[in-house]
Amino acid sequence: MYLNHFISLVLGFLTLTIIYKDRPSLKPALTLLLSWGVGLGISVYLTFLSFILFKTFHPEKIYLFHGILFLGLFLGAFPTYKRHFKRIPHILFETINQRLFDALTWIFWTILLCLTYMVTEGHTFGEWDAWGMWNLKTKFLLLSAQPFEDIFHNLHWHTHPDYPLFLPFLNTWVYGLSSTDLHPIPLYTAIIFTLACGILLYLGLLQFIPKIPAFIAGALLATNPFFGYQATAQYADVQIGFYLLAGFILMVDSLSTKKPQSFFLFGIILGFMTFIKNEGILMMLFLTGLTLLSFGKEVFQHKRVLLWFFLALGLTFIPTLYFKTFLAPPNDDILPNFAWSNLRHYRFMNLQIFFTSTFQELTHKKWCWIWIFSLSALLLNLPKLIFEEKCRGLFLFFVIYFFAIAAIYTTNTNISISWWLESSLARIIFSLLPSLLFLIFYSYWHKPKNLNHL
Amino acid sequence: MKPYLPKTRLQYLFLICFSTIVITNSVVLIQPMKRIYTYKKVVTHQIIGHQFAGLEEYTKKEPIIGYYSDTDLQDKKQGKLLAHAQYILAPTILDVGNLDHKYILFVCEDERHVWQKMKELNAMPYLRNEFGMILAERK
Repeated sequence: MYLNHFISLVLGFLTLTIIYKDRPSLKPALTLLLSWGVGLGISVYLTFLSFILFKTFHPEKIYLFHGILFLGLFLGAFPTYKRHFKRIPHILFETINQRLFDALTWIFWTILLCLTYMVTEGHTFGEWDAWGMWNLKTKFLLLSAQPFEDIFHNLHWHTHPDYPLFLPFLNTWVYGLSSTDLHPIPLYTAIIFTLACGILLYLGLLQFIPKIPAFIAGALLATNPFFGYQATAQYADVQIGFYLLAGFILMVDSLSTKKPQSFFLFGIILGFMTFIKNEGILMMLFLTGLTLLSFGKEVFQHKRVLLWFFLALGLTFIPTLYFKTFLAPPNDDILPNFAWSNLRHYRFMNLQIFFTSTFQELTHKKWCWIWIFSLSALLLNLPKLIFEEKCRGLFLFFVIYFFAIAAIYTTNTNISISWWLESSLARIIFSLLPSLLFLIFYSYWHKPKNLNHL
Repeated sequence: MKPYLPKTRLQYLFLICFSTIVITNSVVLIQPMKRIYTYKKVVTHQIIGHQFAGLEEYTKKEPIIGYYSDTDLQDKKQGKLLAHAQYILAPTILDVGNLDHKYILFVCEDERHVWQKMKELNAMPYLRNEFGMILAERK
């Protein structure tokens, strides 16, 4: 199981080496963590490809695809390694870091890993959507002798056959040639991603702001009891939270450096997001639009970097496009029957229900007041969020996304809005929390001409 | 230079508030840990779909079987039971309400309904487990 995570890490690292070549703009530790995220996305896509070609689970074919890709990436990255071979021990030393604060930080993350494992002991099979949808589909992928397309046609509608399959393919890849029971795989995936969100927040902020506030942000997220509970529920929300946060970090890095390499990696992450959940498609569209808007009138002067961005996004969006076009049935939740006649009978009461539920959710004690403090911190810093270029883009994302979610909830006529809010609102705002904390800490601590990342 | 020191009052306030929350979180985390520790004294691990455990050995060769229930599947408890059944019996697909299959899983509150339905369908019970779940085979 851990071997497959390592293989993905290597693939991701080789990919980032080819992207950045001699000019890395990210710190080594952050590069390593993003390599793992990118590598997992690549592994998921290779696993998906094997199912498209061979219809059922063929682990040897999946490993073959990985082997071929590894060879190609290694040959592409080899010139860079040859040039910088002597620097590798220095880079590793810098990554491990022997300063006391960094050592204490890693001890903290290790303790948190143990605590996260203990939290999962309360729900080792996860929650409803885990055994009702995500892990169920993983079981089908691994065990079924029938073509995997049966997932989309014959399963009960409760299993949401229109949902993309990033998490089931991820668990299928991690299972690999393992002879163990399937049960621990999604459990450990959830634990790893829970911790990864906290560490990514810390390392991502470290790219732009000083250590102590960066650490407090990561600790704030990772020690939140409800975040730990929801992240270990074995849903795909923690994955989308992770990749959205990675997208935010890379968006800021890209807009700061204006390097085609940064935009390329940013595009890759956005593409992966679209294959995790349907919300990922919305997030990708909004972040792409906001990136273009941030260029303003100078957008045509940056054609080259935008070309690389759209190339990467296009490449990693192809699996989602294929999935939505040829495999998945239509989604019944998002703006179904968007006919004028339905809008005439729009119930504004739904809007009231939505805002009331959102308020109740954000002020609920289970969140340990994190939303109250976070939103207060945002309000106190509003001028900076509106007038500073990079903060504005990230802030507008939350505003636009909030209204998009409101529109989706209030225009759906298939299911009761109260039930839908009760079962999904907490998860939606949970997936936004890491990115929101990134925005808050970044806006408070970064200086407009920050030299930390050079 | 010590760049990590807050420079403005807002930054100081911000850092103090969020540090307090981190400490509070760490203390609050103890409660779910205690709850989980107590829970594990009674049940070693979370159990789902125990009512259907063992049935998968008999259904694993069937790609799809029927699922019949005399209860309302919109009800949360019954919906959960269906989800549990589907998870335990996967990769066998449970075709809810469609009884045109060789095997049918009856998940009924009143067993008399099961026997009545089996008679209608000319089906014979293939397996009945201790929880009253009946796997029937159509002739």
